Amino acid sequence: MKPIYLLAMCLSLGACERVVALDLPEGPKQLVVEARIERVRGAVTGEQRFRLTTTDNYFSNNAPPPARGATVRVGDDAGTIVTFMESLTEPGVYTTSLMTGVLGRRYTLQIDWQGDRYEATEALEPVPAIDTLYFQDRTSTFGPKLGKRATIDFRDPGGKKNYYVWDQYVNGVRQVVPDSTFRVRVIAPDDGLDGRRIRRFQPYDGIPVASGSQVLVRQMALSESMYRYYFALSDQASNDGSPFSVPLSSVRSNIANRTRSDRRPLGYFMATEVAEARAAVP
Amino acid sequence: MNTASTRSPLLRVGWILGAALALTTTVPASAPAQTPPSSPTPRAVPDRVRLSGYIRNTANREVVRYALVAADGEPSRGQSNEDGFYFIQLSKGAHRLLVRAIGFVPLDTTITLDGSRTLDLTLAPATIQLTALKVQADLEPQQVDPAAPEMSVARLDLKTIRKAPSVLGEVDPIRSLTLLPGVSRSSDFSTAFSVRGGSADQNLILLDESTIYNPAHVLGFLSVFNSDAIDDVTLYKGAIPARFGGRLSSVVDIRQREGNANEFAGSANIGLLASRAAFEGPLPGKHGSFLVAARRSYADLFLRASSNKDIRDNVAYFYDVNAKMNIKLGQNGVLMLSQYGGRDEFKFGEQTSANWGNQSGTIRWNQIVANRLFSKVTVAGSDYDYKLGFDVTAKPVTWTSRIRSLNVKVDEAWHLGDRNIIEFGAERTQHELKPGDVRGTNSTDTTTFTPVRIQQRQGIASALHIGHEVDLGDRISIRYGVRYSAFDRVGAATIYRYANGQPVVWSANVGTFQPGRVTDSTKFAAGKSVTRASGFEPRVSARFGLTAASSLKASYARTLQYLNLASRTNSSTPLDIWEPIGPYVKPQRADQFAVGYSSTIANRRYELSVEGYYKNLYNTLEFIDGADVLLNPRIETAIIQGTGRAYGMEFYLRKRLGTTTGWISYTLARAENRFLAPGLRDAGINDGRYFPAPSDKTHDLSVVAIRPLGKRWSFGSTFSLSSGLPTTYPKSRYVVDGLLVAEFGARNSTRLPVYHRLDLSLSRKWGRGEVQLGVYNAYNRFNAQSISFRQSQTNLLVSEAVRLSIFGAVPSISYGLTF
Repeated sequence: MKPIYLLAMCLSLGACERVVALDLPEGPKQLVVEARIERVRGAVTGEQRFRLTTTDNYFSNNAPPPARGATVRVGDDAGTIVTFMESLTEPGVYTTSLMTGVLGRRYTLQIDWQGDRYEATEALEPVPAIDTLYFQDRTSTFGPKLGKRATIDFRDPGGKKNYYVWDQYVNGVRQVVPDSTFRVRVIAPDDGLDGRRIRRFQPYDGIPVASGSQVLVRQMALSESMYRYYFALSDQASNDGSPFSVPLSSVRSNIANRTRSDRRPLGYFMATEVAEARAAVP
Repeated sequence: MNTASTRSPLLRVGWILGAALALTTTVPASAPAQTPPSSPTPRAVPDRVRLSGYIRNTANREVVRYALVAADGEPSRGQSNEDGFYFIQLSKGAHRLLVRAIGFVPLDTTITLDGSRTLDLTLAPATIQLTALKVQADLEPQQVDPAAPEMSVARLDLKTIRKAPSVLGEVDPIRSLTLLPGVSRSSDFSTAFSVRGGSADQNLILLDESTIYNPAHVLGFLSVFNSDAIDDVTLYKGAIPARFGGRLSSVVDIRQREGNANEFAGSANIGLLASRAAFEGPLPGKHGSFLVAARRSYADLFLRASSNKDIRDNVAYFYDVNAKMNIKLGQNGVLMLSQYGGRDEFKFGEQTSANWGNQSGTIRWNQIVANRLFSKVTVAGSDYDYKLGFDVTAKPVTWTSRIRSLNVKVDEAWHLGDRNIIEFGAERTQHELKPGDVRGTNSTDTTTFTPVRIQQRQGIASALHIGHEVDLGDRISIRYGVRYSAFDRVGAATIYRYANGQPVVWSANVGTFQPGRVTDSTKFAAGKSVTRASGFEPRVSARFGLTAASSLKASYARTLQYLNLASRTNSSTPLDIWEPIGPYVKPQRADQFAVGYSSTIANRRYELSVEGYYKNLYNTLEFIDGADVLLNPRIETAIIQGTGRAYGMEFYLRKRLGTTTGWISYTLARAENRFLAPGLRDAGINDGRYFPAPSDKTHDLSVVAIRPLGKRWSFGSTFSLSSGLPTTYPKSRYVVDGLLVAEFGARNSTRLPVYHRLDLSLSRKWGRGEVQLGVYNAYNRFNAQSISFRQSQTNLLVSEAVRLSIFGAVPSISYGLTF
């Protein structure tokens, strides 16, 4: 719920946007981490997959450079330590098949890369199951209506503050943004919905799905600090510089550089249960 | 308070008035208004007598503010105050009185005094006759009495502003303020402004002494002040008189017109954005006057003309209604009733809507007692609220927020002698803030949405002030005073406790501020004191006369602010909420020092003022990344407080006489903020270093010129040139979850391109009508509102820098009629 978007919609006084050329200084290379420990509901697997890249010049226009040769380990509070191996085919991707996530367990990520040690700790958050996945017209009164949207029902666990993030795949391809207008991560707190059955929710409501497509919706839980991370990330990724957006600023990771605190890593480390629902669009 | 029962406007007015009456009766019986001091120390020589009263306009009997009164052969002189009251001490016998005010024919009259008396003096408005203006040249007074210790004050002359160009033909007093030195705006779109490096919420905006919490229509594009209903706008940038308090950086004192007490009159104006009408006249039996003005925009009428049903059903408009009544109470008293109400309405489709508005009302009793005490008792209520409608999981919900305040105050000006005035007073304001309340629109349907309600904040602000203005010989005059202010947060409230007493902690590992850990909470019953903050605010200003036409001035002022706007966005929005101080949020404080030089040049054709200032700010607010300030029950976990410093030089050269009039204002300034991690010297935002404030402009130049062309035509132009606002550029980029993200350099370390703009206007009179043509941004410069960075929509690997400009050239036409 971001009511500020209501205001953004109102601002249609013919403001003019133009792409301009700028000379930007080149910053130092920083490590970028996308590390999520998953426990998929109803599946028993030890597969985990992280991705390490680095920053690049702002106008480089290349795929993100992989961070190779890192030592990636995850320890838990039960004393187990698992080392991730760098993929031979996909540089910068580190995997293991020996780590089954356990609810409530605290995990510590440790990365050694180019002489620096990076660390973060997160607990594996539980998430409720998606009861049904079905396809309906857009429920929001905003935006174009044409086409069916993936729609889910689930029940929020009561008595506890929950934060969610969703992913949607269509024919195996992950949809990055829920709408072409707002480049954001689809996240939500359970404000006003604690313990309620949530019906007709369309996480990617800006994206119509074609008949016959295979749709996968993944529902994941966020810790409070990860919610703030994605909130800040969405603020910046969708920052259009309008009077109603926030000032431009760096998104701070929840991972620390233990060797040199001034060379900050970017990205995140999180651990969550994942509820999946698959269906074909009728 | 049952909010549902006070929704209707009638009930709301009833609430304000009822409470006002209840409170006035509880004002301490010692209220000086009713009991003039019985034994004033008479400094005057025994044969001197007092002459006092109001200065009025002959055409409509409205009061004339800041008029100068002088007598032949006597050193005495007086100046009418913001309510038109003047005071002068003379010897018994016959005198030739000379009264002058800007825009009026000087009054030259004789008077014989046998004893002290009250007398209203009237001035005739100057007609626009060039020859007459030239003759007046040596008689016209300055805008500010050159002998007064007052400094850092600017008065906006609405007659001039109406001749100058405006956006879409809608004359906006607040937009026009930014043409003055020391006032800058952070967006072409918004009327939110910054004074001497402060933030927008540090400006106290008063409409007939009632605080307006969100003075914006159309998301900030236009201020709520209808130029037809406004008489006078005074901006205090520094040396703020002790009677004002509650905001750090400035006071904008806006007065509504009183209305014509001689005859009925009206005006109507049709513009591109809105239409206005005003009607005024005398009260029955010539007991006073009234004014009613209304304005409505009509963007939705264009929407309704659309062939697309979805667009046709949308709603987008604003309106406002101003009313004022002045009732004479004998010769020495006036009762004023003033009201403002306005609202913006937006609706998209069936369930999505946003509306917001202000209501304010003032009742004031002015009384002249014993020819020397000017007494004011004021009750002012203000109410701002917004209401949003949207859907959550396909069910409609309503989100409301509101701030209400009720202020009672007594202000006394006791004239001991010429240029020897003691001012004192007291005030009390009750605040009720409802940060946010979200519930299912259909109240019977509680199955899908649990209402979310952020607890109301209750507070009582109170203040006492005393000041003395006195001449020490011919060359020196001084004004000194002190304000003691306090703010009590009272229950009902739930106050949380945090580990180590810190609602926000600095996480050195990852370099961010994070919410503290809640350990405990305490509930306070209704009316019970939660926390209290108070302080003295000394204010001093002095003038040293160099010659008859020039003087040096210096001032110091401390200001305290107990209510803060919680806004994370670049510009303030209608959805921002006000958060009072509490156990964790400390009052903001500023200490400002200023020195100045002012003079008139070339037989008073030009007015020059140069001022330098230095300001230290403490406990200024910033918000932590990724925290929502709306619907946050523990908003203190999102707030960090820091320090600021601002300094600059302001130059103002005004040509008031002659064919071409106007001014040049130039400001050279710097404003910086610093937000340190608690207990550390090199950690915090921007590694704990000072960085430019969002409104910081190194150079800021405005040129305003107005020239009549023959008898019917008039030409106006404004030119603005300023440094670009500070912004932040990326140093690199990366990808997270498929989103391209910019990694930024130091906060506000770069600047947007230089800003410049020319606006033109041309008007022609036809009998009682006048057509005004205008063009805003005449040479169609695309000034950067911002430069932002984004992932290209066509190629996800490509990043783009995007310049956002709010306006190209905007032509306008409006037609006004007076009757």
